[in-house]
Amino acid sequence: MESSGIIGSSVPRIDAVEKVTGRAVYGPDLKLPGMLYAKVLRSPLPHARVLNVDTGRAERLPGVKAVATGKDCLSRYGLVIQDQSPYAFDKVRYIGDPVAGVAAIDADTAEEALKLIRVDYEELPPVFDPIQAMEPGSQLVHEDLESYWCVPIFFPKAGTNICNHFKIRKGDVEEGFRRSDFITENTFTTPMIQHCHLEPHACIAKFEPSGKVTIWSSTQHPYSVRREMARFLNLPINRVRVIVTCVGGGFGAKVLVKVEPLGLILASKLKNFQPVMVLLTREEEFFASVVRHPTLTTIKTGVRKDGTLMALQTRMIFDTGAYADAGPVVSRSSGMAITGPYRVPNIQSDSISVYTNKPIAGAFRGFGVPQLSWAMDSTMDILAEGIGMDPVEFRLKNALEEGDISATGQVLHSVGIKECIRKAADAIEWPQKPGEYRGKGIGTLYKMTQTPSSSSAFVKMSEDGSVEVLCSTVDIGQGSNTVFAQIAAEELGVEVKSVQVVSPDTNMTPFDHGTASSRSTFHMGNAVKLAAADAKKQLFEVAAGFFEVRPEDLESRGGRIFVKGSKGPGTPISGIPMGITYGKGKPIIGRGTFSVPDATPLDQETGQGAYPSIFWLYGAQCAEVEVDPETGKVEILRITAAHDLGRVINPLNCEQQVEGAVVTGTGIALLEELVLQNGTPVNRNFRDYRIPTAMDAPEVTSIFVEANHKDGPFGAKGVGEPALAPTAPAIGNAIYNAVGVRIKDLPITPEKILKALKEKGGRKK
Amino acid sequence: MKNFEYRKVSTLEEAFHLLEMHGEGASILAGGTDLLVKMRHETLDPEILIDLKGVPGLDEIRYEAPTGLRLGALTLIHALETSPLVKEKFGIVSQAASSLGSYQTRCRATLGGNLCNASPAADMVPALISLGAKAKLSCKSGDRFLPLEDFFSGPGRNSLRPGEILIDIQVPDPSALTGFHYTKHSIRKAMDLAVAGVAVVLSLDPGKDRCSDAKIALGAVGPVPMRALGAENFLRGEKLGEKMIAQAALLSSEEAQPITDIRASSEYRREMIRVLTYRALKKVLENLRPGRTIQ
Amino acid sequence: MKHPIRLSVNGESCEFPVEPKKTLLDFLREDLGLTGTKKGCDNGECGACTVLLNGRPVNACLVLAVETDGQEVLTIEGLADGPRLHPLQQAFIQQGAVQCGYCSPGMILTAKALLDENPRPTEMEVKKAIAGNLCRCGTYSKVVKAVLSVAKKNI
Repeated sequence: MESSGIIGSSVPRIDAVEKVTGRAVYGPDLKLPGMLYAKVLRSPLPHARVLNVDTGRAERLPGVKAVATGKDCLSRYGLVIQDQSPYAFDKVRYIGDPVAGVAAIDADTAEEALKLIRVDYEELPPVFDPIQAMEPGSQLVHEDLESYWCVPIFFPKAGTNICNHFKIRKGDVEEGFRRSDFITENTFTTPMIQHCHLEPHACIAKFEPSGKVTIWSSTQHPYSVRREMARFLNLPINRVRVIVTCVGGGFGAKVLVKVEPLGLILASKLKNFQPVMVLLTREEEFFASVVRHPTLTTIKTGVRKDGTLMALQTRMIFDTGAYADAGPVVSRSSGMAITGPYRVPNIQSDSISVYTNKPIAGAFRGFGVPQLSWAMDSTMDILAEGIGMDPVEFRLKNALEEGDISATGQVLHSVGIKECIRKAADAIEWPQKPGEYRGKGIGTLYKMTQTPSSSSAFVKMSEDGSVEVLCSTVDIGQGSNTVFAQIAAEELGVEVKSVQVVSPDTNMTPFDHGTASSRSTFHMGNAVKLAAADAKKQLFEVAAGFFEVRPEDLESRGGRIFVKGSKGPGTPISGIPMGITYGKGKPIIGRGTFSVPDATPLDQETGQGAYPSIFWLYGAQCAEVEVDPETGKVEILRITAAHDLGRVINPLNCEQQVEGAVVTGTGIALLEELVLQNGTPVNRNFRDYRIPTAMDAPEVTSIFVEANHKDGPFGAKGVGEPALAPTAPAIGNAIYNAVGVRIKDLPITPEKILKALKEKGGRKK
Repeated sequence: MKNFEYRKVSTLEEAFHLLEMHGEGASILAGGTDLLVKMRHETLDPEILIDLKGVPGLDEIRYEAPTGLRLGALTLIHALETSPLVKEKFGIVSQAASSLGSYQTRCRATLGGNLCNASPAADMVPALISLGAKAKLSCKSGDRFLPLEDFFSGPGRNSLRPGEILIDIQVPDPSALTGFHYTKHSIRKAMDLAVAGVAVVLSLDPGKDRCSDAKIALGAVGPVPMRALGAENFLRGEKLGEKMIAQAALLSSEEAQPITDIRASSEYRREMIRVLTYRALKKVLENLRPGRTIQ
Repeated sequence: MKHPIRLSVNGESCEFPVEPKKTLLDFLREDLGLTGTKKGCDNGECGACTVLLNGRPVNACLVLAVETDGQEVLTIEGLADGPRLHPLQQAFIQQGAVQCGYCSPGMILTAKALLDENPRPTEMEVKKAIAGNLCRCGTYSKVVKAVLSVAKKNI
């Protein structure tokens, strides 16, 4: 039971002063003595064998200190499937695939050197269409797929382009359709889009003569980088140090391993052990970095007249591009959520990740659930219309509740979806019809979190009672530093302002799985809470001696220690001799580890398992739009967003997450698409790839639902990803309610709407 | 970006001299917001940049009763957006300026730069064409004047002769009973190139019944910004009502020559010209004849 | 061939030889070590590199350093008065307008330019002014709130 009001308080970001004064040091800001600059030569072909790479002239260019090619990398890396090489040694598999790297005294020289490298390719037929890529006999992107190491919960299919196939088989889907009164089958697509974090990927790699290596990186996964690069370089893990610089946005683009290997290979060739910086240009971010999976979803659903969902048959194809990266995780995460937050007794679903000769698709805020919500929530409205039921009522009828069994066979706990639907709908005054060419629509979300995964933290207390939290969660803008300061402060009984959170550095901050999957508040929050409790226990043991009472007779708040039941101002913690030098007591170092020991894997054939995710996130958003029937332009009048996040620790932070994700959601709904030619994006800048500006951002009302989770810190779950998913279907459904046209392929452009209106024969339904 | 020489001149004569010396190897640097992007992508590779920003008088907005408005080539877009003089008497120019790029771009980009860059979607052009603007071009041997619509010879190509510099744009006073409106259709609400742009300048006779003059300029729907002459002729001298402006809008769209690109298809652009022309005409008429419904 | 330029940066005079092709952005970050101004796209399309040039907001990636001879530049590092934050900086923190922070220096300077020119802007005017500052974290509504809260105090 919290006493201090810290939990639930909108504490301003504790790291904001550095950011608003321009003093925070991001990856590209770091300059080390003797630092060299790297540039990467990239394949101009989507699929080819690399026959020869001639780097002689480049090596001789004054100012060039190292040149690397595939010859320097004879093994593969990859945290999910080991299918990637820093520089191609056998084939290039997409336009942009690195073939050679140059480290020079400045970027211009490195760029000049690239022009002097000659590569001989033997072109191979590329495969761009994932459906074609799945056909037997199709050109293979990875002939050696069978020989690649792979995390055992994923299932690449040898001899094909399929790198993961996640299935759910539950009940009897044919019987479900037989018992349905209304059946609908539809196909939905989402395009290739880009994360557009404002800070480009940046890392510096530096070797030492003793064989140690330090990597400074703008990464969401310091320990993954550490582990995988140690393995790849054949070094003990404790010889690899990853220091995380301030991260200017990640959104999933900076998980796992990204540009680090490019720099490491170059740095490993330097006789003088200079640091090497790799910094992507904005153009490279658009075509040669990582993108969000384009998807093709065919979804057949059946429902009874009374609104009961009966059957769901979904095939979702994820175009994962040339390398797996987090691809299998995305299809699995989306596959687990295939029903949306609804009860469906009979399910046959296939979520398939397919290799193609296109840019690498990886993690993107939502891990495949936004693309699923687009298909599933659009379908829910089609079903509701089919049986003449209100879309909100229809959802409430089928919405999951505490104790229900999920599509994967898990008994669900902490299920706030009904309240989310009701609150989002009430806030937009559903079902009140808003007028001609105006409409309201609803979308929902249901998402798991990576389980099992573990986090650990240290909490150090200094002699003056000030506290440091050491953990490897990366504050990528979501405010984790502030939340952990609050949790530690609450648990220790000190003021938030006396808590500092140390920036991740694998030499100092202990293991964390990674900052992704909306997992940090829950997992690291618990670890920090445990570490703080441990520190408090040690503090009270020392203080008990000082007060001459038992430790259990003490309590702390506001930075002071009190004997329970006594009146009086208590003693400041700084007054307790913690004996760092001379005197009594001992240093206080609290330790906390949090993991999920009893998680169960999912059956490969049925996708069933008792406990595959420690929590599920739920949300509902309603959009009100106005459509201009002559131009097709959509004005978003307002959005209400209700999200079940377990427990609000910092309301302002939660608002920022929800509002911020909704802004991106509107961009995904209406604006964003990487246009491909020959398998590569042609709109490679912010002018031709449009993300929402301040003028495009709609008015958003955030509502928080607290379906307390028994294992979460103070009942909290997470809110990092959810608000991105329901926005597009809410807008799509609202447009349908406004003017009677349903666009099934994102983005919903004015041109598509106008075309659909003309085909429909004009105006409102 | 390749290396180049840089020279900031304080007189036009210096500029002419450098242009003569370097010929095609010289580029004029005004705000640089288009030029530097092109140089960075190496679609332009000048050996010398001649910075005109030190030449006094090139960035002034002047109004002289018989000739009208004179806008120096180096006038900032931001100045055009905010100048009370321009807003009051030539509001369509402020409208166009306000739709260009971002606050940061507008505080650096110049009128001359936008015109000389000669993009078919250039924001300033339809508005100025529809006002009957004239460009003053100077070289060592003297000045010449060109109607603005003749200043563009192709996508990204202007009609400057070697050694010539764009000095200013002159905009005649609109006659009484003239209204104007510029509308730009883009997908994003800001920071977007026009998918289609329409500028309408409409003048009525003293009775406010008939159209005494009409100018309709279209942007982003042809190799160069253009006037919808057919639609203009159709309206001139006629009584203006619902059917007339709808027909004029249709004619305007038929005269457009849009292409399909990653921003939009030609069919959509053509349709947008029709819709925008109609809406612009309607708006201008309503402003000129408040209270009167258009029948 | 390098040109000597002399300009005022954050109130301090500095003199440097620069190559013509060096942008003001690279000059600030590399030669002066002022890395508060960020490079987001190097193409004038994201606003992360916004600085005030003679009081007006510009994308420093589209200004050549040689063009700034004799002029005044204000970067984010010059806004606070030692440890005393500028009201805009304070408001950004209080109103939750800072998430990853990469766009913040540019946003804050653009907001300052706006308020210097227009001390009591409307909400729409604020949105329009910051339309050239992209934020993928989506903080726009809080930025507008922060700017309006400072404007409210302008009499």
